[in-house]
Amino acid sequence: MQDAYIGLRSLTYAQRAARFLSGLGIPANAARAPWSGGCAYAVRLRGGDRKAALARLREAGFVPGRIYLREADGSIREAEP
Amino acid sequence: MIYLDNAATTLQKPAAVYRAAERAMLTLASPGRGGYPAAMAAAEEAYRCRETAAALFGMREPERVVFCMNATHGLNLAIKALVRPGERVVISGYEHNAVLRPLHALGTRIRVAAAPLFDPAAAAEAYARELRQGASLAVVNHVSNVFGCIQPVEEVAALCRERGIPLVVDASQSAGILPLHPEEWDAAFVAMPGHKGLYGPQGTGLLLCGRQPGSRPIRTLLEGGSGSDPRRPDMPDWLPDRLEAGTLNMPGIAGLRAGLDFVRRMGPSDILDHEQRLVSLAAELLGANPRLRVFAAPDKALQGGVLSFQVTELDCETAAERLAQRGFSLRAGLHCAPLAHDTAGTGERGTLRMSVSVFTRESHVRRLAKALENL
Repeated sequence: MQDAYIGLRSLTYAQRAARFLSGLGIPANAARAPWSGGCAYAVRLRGGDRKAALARLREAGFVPGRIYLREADGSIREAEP
Repeated sequence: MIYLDNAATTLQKPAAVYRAAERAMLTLASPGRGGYPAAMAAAEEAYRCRETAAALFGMREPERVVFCMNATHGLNLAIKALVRPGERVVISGYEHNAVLRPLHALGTRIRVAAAPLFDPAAAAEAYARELRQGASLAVVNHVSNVFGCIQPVEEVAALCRERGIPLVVDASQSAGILPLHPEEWDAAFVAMPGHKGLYGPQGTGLLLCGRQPGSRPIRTLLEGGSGSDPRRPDMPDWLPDRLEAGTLNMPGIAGLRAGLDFVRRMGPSDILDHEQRLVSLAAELLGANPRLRVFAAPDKALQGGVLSFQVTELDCETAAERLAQRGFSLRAGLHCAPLAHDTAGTGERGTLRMSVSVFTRESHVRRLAKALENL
């Protein structure tokens, strides 16, 4: 199962987004973003429907940034929103 | 020792506060500085503290809860974010130096909405009079640290909303006992210490950030690492990062969360009721002593957990020293609030101040009254 990382502007913002998604029953937690470029934080989705999570975040006023997927072999690749 | 200086800091804390601070020192690293478990555990602790404070104070967005060192730090952040030299600022007659000195340092034009002690209607009228002439900022001390008088924040907030004037509330003596409604008030900022009525450790404070006037980012007091967007040369635009440069005080924050939990469990209104009963009792017992001049509200609902008094033939410092020799910890003097004494007419001598907490007992008040009979 792939983990998806949805970049958000700050750690606190990622934490609020993770709480929001968890409250909707979408398993999520705030995490250090796995891409390089300095301090960046993301909501990590453990499996589940990435597109639905993105839609819920946008509806609630969050502004998602870049999205990455971690493959089963540990590699990371950027994904389309 | 009978500790009656809770307006300075609540020396006695719930046991959970000490435990949380110790656990944080042993297990928490720095939030926003790494993705390893100890850093993320710190981030979780900090966020839970923000959530707890947001819930207590009716804030919808926990990121609007900013950690600071104390109320003075929060008030400096707030005031220096909002006003510029020469601008007109309206304040109450009971402000602490934490408000007066930043305003003075900025070179603002300070207008005092002066009103007699324990007269909220007169205070509201004084604000209305001053705000009608325009202002860049209004500041209101919710509860005086000298006299415990409760200022009419709701009325002042309504006046500010009508005129589009940003409002800063100093909740140093009210947080934890009186209802705070930053969003309903539409306050730009509400500043409070963590180490008084919220029972957290010293070195903690909260700045609740509301809607800011204008579209520009809040002016900063400190710049530095925020754990976000490190390549930009200025501080990030968003809260809390913009106002939280440098490493957070995690033992303090963990302890503060335990203090906030304690306050939520006890219930601020029950704590207020306890403190007002003790102050009312003290006013009655001390008021019966002809050697004392007691500054008590005619209605206990107008006063928080602070009571000032003077001993007629003794200066305050001598009286406090004699009380300390008998095991009572009270503060004497001007309490860093000379304006409050000027307003109340006690500026020459200052006062002795007793201030209570949830840990103060009726027997403590009775023993103080007895000690004052033979001082």
